[in-house]
Amino acid sequence: MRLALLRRRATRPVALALAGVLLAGGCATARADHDLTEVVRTGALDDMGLLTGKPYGGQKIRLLICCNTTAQFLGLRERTGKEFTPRTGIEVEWANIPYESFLQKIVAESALGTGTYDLVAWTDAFGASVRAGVQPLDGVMKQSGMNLNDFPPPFREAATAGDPKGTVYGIPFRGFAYAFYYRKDTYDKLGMKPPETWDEYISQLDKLKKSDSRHPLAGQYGRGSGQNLFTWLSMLWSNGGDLFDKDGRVAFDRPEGIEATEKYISMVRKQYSPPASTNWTETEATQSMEQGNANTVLTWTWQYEDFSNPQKVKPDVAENVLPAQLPGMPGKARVSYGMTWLMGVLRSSEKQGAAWEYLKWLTNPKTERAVALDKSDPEKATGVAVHVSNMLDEEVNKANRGVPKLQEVALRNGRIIPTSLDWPQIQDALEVAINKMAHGADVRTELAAAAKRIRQINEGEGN
Amino acid sequence: MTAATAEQPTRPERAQRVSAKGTRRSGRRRRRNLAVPYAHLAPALIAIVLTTVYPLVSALVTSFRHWRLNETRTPGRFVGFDQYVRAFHDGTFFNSVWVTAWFTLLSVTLSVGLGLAIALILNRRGPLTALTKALLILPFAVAPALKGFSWRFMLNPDHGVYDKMIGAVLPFTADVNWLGEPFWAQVVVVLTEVWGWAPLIALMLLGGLGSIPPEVHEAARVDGCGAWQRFRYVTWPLLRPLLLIVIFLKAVFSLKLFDQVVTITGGGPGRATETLNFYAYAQGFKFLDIGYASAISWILVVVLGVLAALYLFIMARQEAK
Repeated sequence: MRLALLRRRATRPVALALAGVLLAGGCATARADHDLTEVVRTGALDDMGLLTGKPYGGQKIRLLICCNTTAQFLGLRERTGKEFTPRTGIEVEWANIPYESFLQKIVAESALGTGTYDLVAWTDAFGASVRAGVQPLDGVMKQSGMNLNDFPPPFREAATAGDPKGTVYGIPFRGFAYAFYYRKDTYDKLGMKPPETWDEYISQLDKLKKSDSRHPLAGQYGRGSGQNLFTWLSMLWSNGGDLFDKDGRVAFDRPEGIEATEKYISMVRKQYSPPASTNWTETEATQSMEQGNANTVLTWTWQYEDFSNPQKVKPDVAENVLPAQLPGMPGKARVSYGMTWLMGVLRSSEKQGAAWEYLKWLTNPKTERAVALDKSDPEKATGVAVHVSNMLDEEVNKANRGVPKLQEVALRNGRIIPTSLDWPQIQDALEVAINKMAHGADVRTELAAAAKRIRQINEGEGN
Repeated sequence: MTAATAEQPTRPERAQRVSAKGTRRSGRRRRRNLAVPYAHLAPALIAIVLTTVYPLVSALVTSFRHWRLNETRTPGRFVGFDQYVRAFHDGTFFNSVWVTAWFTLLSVTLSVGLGLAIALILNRRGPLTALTKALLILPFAVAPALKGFSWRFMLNPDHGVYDKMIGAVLPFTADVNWLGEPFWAQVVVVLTEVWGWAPLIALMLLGGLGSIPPEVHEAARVDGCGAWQRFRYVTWPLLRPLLLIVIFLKAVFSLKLFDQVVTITGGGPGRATETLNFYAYAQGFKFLDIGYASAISWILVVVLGVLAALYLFIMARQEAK
């Protein structure tokens, strides 16, 4: 009996500890929401639009971001310490979450609101998932005399994070268009020029296959964060197709979608892209180009920084690879997939005023221009620009081999992927379908199966 | 009788008091003695409760609720067994069950078979036996993510070392697209498991082989048994209890297969290498459907629980013998 009593006593602390943990879990803090305009201070502004007098001096803010050691982010991070902190007295700490786990981290942070971070960066497609956790910015932008007019149309659309009312939740700070890269030496040898249409490109691939030992194309048909959809989407859109029609119904399985998909898949079926590319993602495809094993590749405009850097690629690659616009479907407009990184202020932040100051500085075209012109360290040099004024700036283009201008032209008719809550599932269904087709599955059957799956997702399967 | 003596307790009273005090003391001592083991166990128990019991209970509760992280900050309404029913109507879920079962069967058979072969070879003393035994632990010591990314890189037909080596040694495989074909991708994932586990299993079995008295083998040899008969009638029966443990352990780890799938194939080609654990991960951390992911995870927990119970039952029976 005593033993039983002792056992009960011994289990009591464990039960109490468990209850404590459960209670703590159940009582996760829900911070009071305030409009950002009520939180930020107002006053005289300097030439960069920042408050004078360092009202937030001494504060340290944290930015939730991934891959901060890549050139496109590293330049901005470096400049933060050199320019922003001395101006404002605000210290900024950049997180460095690997991309693979970054998306789940930003969604969890914005949903749970732990207060660990003050600012969050996200890629356009995840806007809808992040929206609930970030502050609307229209009020403070108006207060600070800011607008989005200097951004290309797809980036302006992404700034609303899929909000049907068009409220701005994030400001673009990095962004790219999809581009066509080719080896000038091979193209010159064969008397070819960058293709105007996808049909012309496919006939060029045929010539390349017959006359050169390199892969005509380093494609990316494998599964991995939806990367096998990028070229396909550009072809689909250019052919007049879309993922969904105006009524929100699945539309990619219609004739224009089937035609675009068949062309896209033919490039691997005819082995213009090597059989191994059925499992390649962006990494392997660009590596193939960097190692001199491929004659063409379709990837982001920022990639030119790597392709032209002799420290990262073979010397003959750095000398010969050039960027060009993506082709379009015959007789139709070229459409490029435009991807952008946006940044917003987290609702759960205790330092929203300081966070807004940093966001203003980071997205200021002058900051972007200074970074794009700074070529002092090749490891940190980047020509990425998201402001139209910078993409058209002569000096910026001269320093970055004309890529900003090329990007601006591509983005005039660029598109972004739908910013819906269900995008991760939709992307999964589509990338599996593309991957299966690359392995020989019938295009129409797979498109129909993916369409059926996506209809189920849209109808709220399992909800 | 003086007043002083009147206040003095009588001898029996004194004895009673002493005895009562003693009983109290010994009771306290006994209680203290009984509490000591619990006190020593407390830190570990608290850690287990916080890191295992609480998440398990929390996931079980969540599996009965609708909760998509990108819709609400907190778990939503109770939906009963809806998410379990959904799993049993989900073709992709069944695909992952099939893939997991197939992987488990293959990797357990190959890892244990190869591990046993290595152990039998190394059980003979040679000049490099000790060094070889030490080197055997290395594949298991490699971080799973590093292992996966390295295999993926080395099997790349464009610049992969393994691809070139295998193609040179076995010319008929020169054109094999290792990670691009469903069959070969499955084979690669299994092989990476076997590469990591077979040496460890060999080490475990070497311990078992070492515990078999040499006299038994000597006696069998004197009786005219050949190598195969000694293995069949002496080694195998004496090693069987340990083999059972190894098989169960490997089966549990194979059912949880995740790292290689993420790093080598990403679940592809198509869904050819999507294991149950990967599917639960995708539901939870890619699609943010925490409720459904919890239900799938609990189905896996139940399967692993049955295996663990079976393992404990067999262990208990062996101890009883």
